[in-house]
Amino acid sequence: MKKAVLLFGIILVLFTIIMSIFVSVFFLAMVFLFFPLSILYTEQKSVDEREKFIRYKAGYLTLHLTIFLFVILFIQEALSTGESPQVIYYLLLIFPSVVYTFSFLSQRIDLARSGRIVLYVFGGWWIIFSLLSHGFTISSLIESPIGFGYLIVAFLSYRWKRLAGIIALIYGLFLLARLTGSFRDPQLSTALLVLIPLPLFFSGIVFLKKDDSI
Amino acid sequence: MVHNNLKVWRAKFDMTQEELADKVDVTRQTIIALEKGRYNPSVELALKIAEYFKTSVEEIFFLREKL
Repeated sequence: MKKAVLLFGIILVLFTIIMSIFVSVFFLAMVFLFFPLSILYTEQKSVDEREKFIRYKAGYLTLHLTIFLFVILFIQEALSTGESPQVIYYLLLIFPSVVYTFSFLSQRIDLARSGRIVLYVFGGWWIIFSLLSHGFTISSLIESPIGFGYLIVAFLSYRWKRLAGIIALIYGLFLLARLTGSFRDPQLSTALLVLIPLPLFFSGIVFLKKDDSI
Repeated sequence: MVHNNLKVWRAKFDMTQEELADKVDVTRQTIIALEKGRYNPSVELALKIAEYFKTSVEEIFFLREKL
């Protein structure tokens, strides 16, 4: 183990003991999370390529298991209360998807494909959210046009990329205008105003942009 | 899947897995995984191994099992 890691660990443990005695036992619990994580990340440079590959695979698996866990919690909350789950559940589901999608899109994959992936991911999420909010009824499908709109734009982009780009931008602006001021909860309002039109703007720009990656 | 005759080359040079791992900057587990065909090396690692044995990459790594 490197000296810096060891020193960091000792300081962290001392800090935790002091804080847990004088402030809260919560800090004691935190060390059990941060200490192994700090070792994991500080030793990242000393691992060989196979171990890095294994870590990437483990990260990928963790991401999907985390999303699966959040979906279970989300459904459990919806079924137990009989109402639409709290905003935090939506954000817990959306956040890993956003991080994952944008981190692999930053690796310069085909532009049109990246635009479609964003629309499929976010369209899929909004359809699931609509179904859960309206209790798995046919009417919830009719009342969830936002997600279907995403998917239609994505389908159009296979044949008419530029047209899909223009439609995505117009649709994004339309949703932004339509949704502004329609939510009472300011937290929900801000989150949805960012999350609903943003993928459309991203995909719209990407579809209209000339792909020079070839 | 990439096949290899790394074990043969290692025997030719009378080396242990640990020694080869040290020479090419990987762990012994990676050499074991390579020899058993459970892991495909990066281009960099394949070149390092070939360079160490003073041969070409194709002599050690190939796409089809040699008869």
